[in-house]
Formats: sequence, structure tokens, C-alpha cells
Amino acid sequence: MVSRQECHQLASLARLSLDDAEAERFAGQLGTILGYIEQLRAIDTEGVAEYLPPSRPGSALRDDTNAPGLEREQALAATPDVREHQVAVPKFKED
Amino acid sequence: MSPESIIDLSLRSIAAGVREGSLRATDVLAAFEAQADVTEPTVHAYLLRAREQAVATAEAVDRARDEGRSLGPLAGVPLGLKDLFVTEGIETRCGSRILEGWVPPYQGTHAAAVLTADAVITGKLAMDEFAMGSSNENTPYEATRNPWHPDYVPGGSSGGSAAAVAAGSCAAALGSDTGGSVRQPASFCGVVGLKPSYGRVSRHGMIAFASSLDQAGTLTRDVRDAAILLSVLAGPDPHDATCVDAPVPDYLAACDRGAAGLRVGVHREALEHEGLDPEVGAIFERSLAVLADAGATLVDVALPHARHAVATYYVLCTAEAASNLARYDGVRYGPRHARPTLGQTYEATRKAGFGAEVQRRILLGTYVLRKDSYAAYYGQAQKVRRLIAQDYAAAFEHCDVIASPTSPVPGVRRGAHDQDPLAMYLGDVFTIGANLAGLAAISVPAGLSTATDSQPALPIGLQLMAPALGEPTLLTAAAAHEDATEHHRRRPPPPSPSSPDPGEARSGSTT
Amino acid sequence: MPAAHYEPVIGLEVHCQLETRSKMFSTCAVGIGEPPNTLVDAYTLGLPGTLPVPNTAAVRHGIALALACGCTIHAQSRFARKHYFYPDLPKGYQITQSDQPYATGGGLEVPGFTGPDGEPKRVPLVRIHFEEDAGKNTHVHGEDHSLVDYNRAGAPLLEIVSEPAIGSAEEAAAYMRELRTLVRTLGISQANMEEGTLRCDANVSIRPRGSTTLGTRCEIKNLNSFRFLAQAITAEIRRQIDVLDSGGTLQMATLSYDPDRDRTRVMRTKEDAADYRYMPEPDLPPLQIPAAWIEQVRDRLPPLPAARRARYREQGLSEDDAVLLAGEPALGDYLDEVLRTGVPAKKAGSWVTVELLGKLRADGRGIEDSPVRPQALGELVEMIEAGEISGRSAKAIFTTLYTQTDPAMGPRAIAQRDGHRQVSDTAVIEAAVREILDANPKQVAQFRAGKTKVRGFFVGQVMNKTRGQANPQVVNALLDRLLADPTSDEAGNNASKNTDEGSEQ
Repeated sequence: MVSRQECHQLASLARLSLDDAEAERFAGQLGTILGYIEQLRAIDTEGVAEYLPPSRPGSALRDDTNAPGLEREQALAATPDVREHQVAVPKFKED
Repeated sequence: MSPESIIDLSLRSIAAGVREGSLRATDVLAAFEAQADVTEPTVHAYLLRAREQAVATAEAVDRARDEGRSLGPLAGVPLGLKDLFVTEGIETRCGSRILEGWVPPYQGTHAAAVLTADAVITGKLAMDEFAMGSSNENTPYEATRNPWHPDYVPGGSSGGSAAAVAAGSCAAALGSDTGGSVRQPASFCGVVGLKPSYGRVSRHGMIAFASSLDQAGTLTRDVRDAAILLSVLAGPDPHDATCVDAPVPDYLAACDRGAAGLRVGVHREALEHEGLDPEVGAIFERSLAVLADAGATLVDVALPHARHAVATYYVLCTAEAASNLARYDGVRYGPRHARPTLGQTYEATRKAGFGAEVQRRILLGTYVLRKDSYAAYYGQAQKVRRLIAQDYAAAFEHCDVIASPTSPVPGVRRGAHDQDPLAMYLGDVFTIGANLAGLAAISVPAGLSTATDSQPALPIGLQLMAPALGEPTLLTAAAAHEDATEHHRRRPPPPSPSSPDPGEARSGSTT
Repeated sequence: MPAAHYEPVIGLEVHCQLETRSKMFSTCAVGIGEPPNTLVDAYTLGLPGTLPVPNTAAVRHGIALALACGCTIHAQSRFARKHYFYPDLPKGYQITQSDQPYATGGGLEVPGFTGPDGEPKRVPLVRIHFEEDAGKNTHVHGEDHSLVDYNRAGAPLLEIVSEPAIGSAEEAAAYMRELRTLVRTLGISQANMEEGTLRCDANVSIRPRGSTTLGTRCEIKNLNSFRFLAQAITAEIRRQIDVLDSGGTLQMATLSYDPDRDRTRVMRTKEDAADYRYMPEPDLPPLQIPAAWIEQVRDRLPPLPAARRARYREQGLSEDDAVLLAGEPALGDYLDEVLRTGVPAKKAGSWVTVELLGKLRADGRGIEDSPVRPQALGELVEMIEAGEISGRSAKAIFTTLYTQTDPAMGPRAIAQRDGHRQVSDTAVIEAAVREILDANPKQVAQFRAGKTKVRGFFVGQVMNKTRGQANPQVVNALLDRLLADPTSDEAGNNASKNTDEGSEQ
């Protein structure tokens, strides 16, 4: 139901790299689970709205006020590669 | 008071003792630390024991008491937090390599609340990675064992929390429940697991798995301890827009109302579940009789769409997980597996950081969210979810709480679900409905299975569910059951050496 | 086919950063030009466990723009997650609104452009929605890494999506200017393209003139100045015509504009278009905008540019002045303040556009920094209108107003002090003229002998004598009469009427 190729595509969308053996194994497991999930498609949901949890009045908006943020050193303390107070990543092309 | 008797105290006795001065927070901590030293080598409930911070907190509590300041409702209570609760200054990794070494620069709402109530945080408790699983075996670290028997899983994903409370290595613990992750391990470990209704407790500072299903919960020795802990956690939070803005009732008082007049609903059809262990079924019937004897009325309820709950759940939770876990890319925090290009760096980092079950769910979630499959899967599942929620709403017109077993089985042997994720998903059949419909639910100890040649005596839980914000009714029913039984007083046997680890491959799964 | 046979169809997607103290979904401060990563909090960085909570001010700003554009504002809308992996996107998804935006429909009038029936052109809008901004990437030249600054991440944005109903690059630029004017008038955004608080993507297609079907659409990204916006669209129209004319077919594509070569360049085509895996944002309940809130915002709306333009036209301002003065809220506010003094709009308008803006521009100042307060300018125009001062004096007084260090001096006080009050009383002036003529018999004789150049000497002497306050027209008329016939005592009615030359611009 899910091909190895499709599994590779999903992995690519999710930024996971799979070797062929992994893709094969995941494809089989996804197929089984999707097969089980298939039962949902037969349920008549004509006119049924998607579920929404009950929400509180006023959409829970907040006032436009500032609270102290993080000091830069704190903010970047866990960053693997910091240069010039910025987060460095391998160079990439904008699109 | 001896350390042995201290660790047997309820949360509220500890807090009362510390407040009154009959107990010192440091002594209480020392007693639970000593117990942890004994149990941890076999149980492995803790991912991290925050000894220094715990001692400092306990000392501060004692000092406050000495200075005559009034103490909070959790005064001196040694409390463990599941590793998905953000603790400022204490490593928080959500049981995953992808967050290894991350020390949060901010305080989560839960940690702040319990510290404000003068609790002592003992450390971070083990869990299935990103709360995905129901065995605590989905972990790159030492898997937690069931304190009742080391060959058995503690349940999951709050397995560390349930095991620590059962083992007495903390007085109570916080867990999280997305599809049963507090209740199922509570059932397996013989403790009380409370999942409040969606939005009752903030999610700010609780690392997300599936945002529309996740809810912080409590693991305690008894129902009244759960009520006290819930009182500390419940209430609106300016940092969580989905947190309900409703007054917090007196939960402890609700525990004393008695079951007289309560209508307990039973969904008989669900009990015909082929995987239901006969002893679990028998113990459940006995629990119903206990409630009836306490004055409750039993009524049959219909939940026509309940059989689709597991399928619905796995579409929604994987989609939300795939989304919530997109931020773990090694750019701003967490270990990075640097490669020449950005794309390779992302893939290497995420591949190395996430375990198999997490990757499987991300792939499934990505599948159901794609433009071409959204309507058929995610959209459809959200509609079926509404039908399921409507079923519950209709059922609650005829009853106050709905009772069921928590898990269809008394326990799961380690490694049992390694090769078959779906089999483990199906183990969530009784618990998932409460998450889908945003209900309040609790698992309380209901007895022990009979020891046989092939299986030791293991705890079995009773689940009760109440409508959203129906925690008082839920606690009334749970406390009535507890007051009429002694199951919650049973303690696991002292630690014995465990069997060897069944192997590397751990892929089983749920919540 | 010659280019003239094609008709471009353009739609714009504009991002406008809202002016608020805090970000769209967190209390983190917003700012421009701060050192990198100093305006961040746990939410901004996408730290685990953080959740979004929407900013009331951002929503209020959104309501204001939707009202100003005549959109339908929905009582309930939803936030959604748009997924893609990018270093400047901290959560791996952006919170936006997808299938349920808060505002749909409406439109924006584009000044200077007309519709098919000659009416002012109105570009219909598809929608306006809220979203949060991403951080900023810097690609270090010659280095193997890029740098990310998250100060901008999470800043509140409105995305304004027009229908494909814009007919030219110039019209697109005018639409952008109008939108900028509007959001500035509403006070909801700095809307500065250079600083990135106003950004634009353009969808461009072409079709044979007269055709009603849309051609293949290409999207030019990141048009971040008015100049590049028009240039890029023109270049893209040219490219599309070239493709079609050389027998090719157009493919849906995303392009960037290279200003150095004045060319658009394909970045990616439809085939590799991203799947954003939109889903409803589970961390946020539906956004509720009750009718009472909308009415409250409506009651506080400032005068809008289109209405202001229409009013100025009605009050007699030239089209250019009307567009110019309604085109910047501070200018319109200034003029409206001047008009409060009751002076004629046309004259006041031209004093603002010519004298005041001329000086301000020369000094590189904005209307906000004008040393001449609107009340003072109104008083000045009023004095000219009443014939109290000459045009020359008016300019002198204006210069004084503009340069004076003591701002308390109004035009009347200055006129008094500096002796600028114009004398139009013929009797007073005639006395002075006669005195001058009597005192200079030699020059009178020269004039009468035909040396008419001497006349300037008399004018100068009279003006000197009256300290410049004599109405020059009256002086001239009297000189004409008295030099021609010194015995004449006629009152010279034709010259006694107040004239007004103060603002011959």
C-alpha cells in the first residue's frame, strides 16, 4: 500500500534520510497501519464539522505588552554553531 | 519518623507534617532519595536525578518554615517530573537523543506551579521518546521496569512516573496523557493516574506530542493526593490559549462526597473486545459491584463510534506529532550532525536524533497531512472525532461517569510488541476516547492478577471517565471506590535482580 | 505578436508588518535594526514547550485594514500551520491562516487609474490574513555558512492578497503606494519597503488583449522597493511575451528579479513546488471577532485616503495636490489642521505643496518636523485672503515662521513687528506719493520728458517711505495718475481694491 519509493518521498518531506532497507521496513509497517485506518473512510461524515475543542471566550487573546525575553547569551547557549552572535548553518540558497 | 515510614506517607501527610514542623523537608527528601538508591538500579525510573537542586529546594522549604513563612500545599513533597516537563536549569530532553543536553532557559508552568506550592523536584522521569509508546521501551536509554516485576514493562509513556511512585522513589509524579499515557502505566504499576479534561491544566512547558490530545496528569498513591496535586496545577495560564478559563473547584472536598446517587455508565459492547483478558474483565465486574455497594447506580451506555477511536487517534496524533517535531532540526538547539549541506545536516540530525517509533509516526503523520490525502485522512478523522465526542456527550446525559478497565491486559512482558506496532496501538482501546473527546479520566488500582507459572501478580486498574471539567464527579467516584477497597495500599515486592535485556530492537508503541 | 497585443494581468501578495509592541504570538519585543538575536524569547526560538497566544493589537490592526478595504470580516476564523524546513523558521512551520482567513473580499482604490467606465480604479481583494514572520538569513560572501538572526521571527504580519486585476507595472506600483498610504493612515504599520515592513510578491500572467481567460501565472518573489516592483513586473511581462512569441509555452514558476541585469530568473517550477501540509493550528482556538469589536474599531478609524482625496477634489484642490496631500496621512492631517482656520482649501493646499513642502524637501525634513505649525500657516493664508499683507510680505513672513527660533510668534505678530502690514488706503499712499514727487522734481521732469525708467525709482522711494507696506497695485495706479496729471485728486477707485498676489505660485 505504501511503496518504498513513496516512503522515501515522505522521509524527504520530513527531513529524515532512510536507506532502502529502512524504507522497505517502514513501508510495510505504514501499509499495515494505513490498512487499519482505512475503516475511517467508510464512516458517513456528511454534514459533520471537524472537531474543535471547546474554546474560552475572547479567543484567549493577550494584551500587546512586552515581557522580558532571553538575553542573547541565554538564547544561543544551546546553539551548536554560533558566529557573530548569530546561528550559523551550512550555506544554503534562498528560494 | 523512620525513612521507611516516611516513604509510605501520602503526599498530604508529608505536606501537613512539613507545614506543622513534625517533618523536615530535608529528611523527607533523604528518605525518598535512599529508597531511589535501592530501587533505581533495577527500576530505572529516573532519566536524571536532580539531587543538588532537590537538596537546595528542601533546605529552602525548611528555612521558610523556620522563618515562620506559610508553606504551600505541596510543602516538602518529593515530586518527580516526566522528562517532557520543561524545568529551567535542569536538563530536559523528552526522552530523546535529539534534545540531549538541552537545559531550558525558561521555566514551564508545571514546574513553576509545584515549586510555588513548595514541592521538591527530585528529577526527570523516564518515558517513551516524545511520549510515543505505552511500554517505556521506545527509548535510547535504559528502559524502565515495572516495580512489580522487572520482566514487565511499567506501561507508558509516563512509565517512569508510574514506576517511581509505585517504587517509592518519589511521593508523587507528573505525567502526560495523550491517549492513555498516564492511566495505562498507573494501571500497570498499581497507582492512581489522573488525566484532567483538555485545557484544565496548561500545556505551556509540556513538550508537545499531539497538541489537541496532550494533557498533563498526575501519578499518586491515592485519589486524594491526585486531588491536591490537581488543585495546584489546574487553572488558566496566560501562556496557553487552549487552557480553560474556568474556576478551580475544591477537588479534595469532592473526594468525600460518596458514591450515593452516582450513575455509573458501562459500555458493555467494549467489554466484548477480543483482546480483553478474562481476569481483567472479572476484576472490572468486581469494581462495578464495589461502586454499586457504595450507592452508585449502574447504567448501560452506547458509544456507537467508539470502535473507531484507535484509528482516529492514530491519524490525528501522528499528524500533530509530525508537525510538532519539525522544530527539532539541530539549528538552534540540540545536537547537530553537521554535514556539508544544510539538507544533509537536517536529515543526519533528525535521523540520528529520533528513534524508530518516532520516525514511524512522523512518516505516518506526513502521509496523512499531504495535500492529496489531507481530506481523506486528517479531515475525516477530525469529523469522526466529533462523532465520538457526540457519543460521549449523549452517554453523559444518562450517567455521571463511565467505567471500564484501563487496559485490556494486566501487564505486558518486555519486548512483546517489538515487531508489531499495531498490536500495541490496539492496547489503548479503552483510554483513547477520553483524549479524543477532551474528557476527564482516572485509573485507580482495582486489584492484582493471580500469579501463575507464566505470569507474576500484576496490578489491574479501573478507569473512570467524566465529562469535560467533571473532575469533581470523577474524584467522588474514584475516592468512593478507593475508600471501599485496599488495592491502593498494595506495594510492589522489594527489588530483585532483573532478567537480561531482551534485545536492542525496541519498536513497540503508543501514547 | 507585438507586445501591444498582449495584456498583462497582475495580482499582488503584500506582506505588511504590523506596528505593535510585542510579536504576533508572544510578549517578545519587536524592533528593527537591533543587534542580532536580542529580540528573542522562548517562543520566538521555537523552544520545546512554548505555545502561541495571539496579540490583541495585531488583530485590532487587522480589523482596521479590513474595514478600510470594505472586506467581509468573519466572526470566526482559524489559524493554520504551514510546514517547511528552513533555518529562519524556528518551529518548522509558520502560523498563518489558510482556508479560513479573518477577512475576504473588499478592494483598494488606485489613484490615477480608472476603470472601464472612467470611474476611479478599484482592485478587488481576495483576502487578508494574519501570520507570523520568519527570521532573517544572511549569506556571508566567500564563506561556507549562512547566519540566522531571529529578531524578526514572530513579528506580526498581515498578508493582503489582491485579485489578478491589476493591468500594468505602473498600476501595481500605484496599488502598493495606496496600500502604504492606507496602512500608515490607519497607524497600523510603518510600511517601509526598504526596512522590510512592507514586502511584495507579484503574480504575473499575460493574455491576448480582449481575452477573458487567465494565462499561466508566474510569481516574482521579494520585490522590496517600488522601483524594483515596477521594473521586475515589466521585465517579467517582457520575458513571457518572448517565450510565447518564440513559440514556447509558459510554465507556472517562482521567479526572482535580478536588478543588475533587469531580468527575472526562474527559481523553481510547479513540479518541485512544496507541499506545505497545512493543518489547523491545534494550539489556538478559532479566532473570534465579535461585531461589537468591529464597530469599536470602525468608530475610531481616521479619515481614509480615498475619502480624503474625494473631499479635497470637492474642495477645489487640483488632482495632483489632492493625491499628494491625501497620499500621506501626516500631510493630510496637516492640511486638515490648516483648513480648520476656515481658509479656502485650494489656496491652503497650494501653500502646503509648494512653499512648505518645497522648503522641507530642500532640508530633507518631513511634515512632522515642520517648523511652521498648521495654525500659523492658516493664519498667514487668512491674512493674504483679507488683503492684510502682500504676496511678497507673505513669503517673507513664511520664511520667518520657518526659520524663527521663537515659535510663539504667529504671522500677525511677525507682520506687526517687521512692518509687513499692507497699506491699501489710497489716501495714506497718495500722501506718500505726493511727498516723493514733491521732493524729487528733477526726476518728475525726467519722467515727463519720456524717461519712463525713472518710474521704478518712484516706486522704490514710496515703498521705502511706507516701509514696504503700501499695496504695490495702489502705488502704481497713483503714480500713473499723479505723474500724468499732478493736479488730479481723483480717488482712483480701480486701484483701491485689495488684490491678492501672495500666493501666485
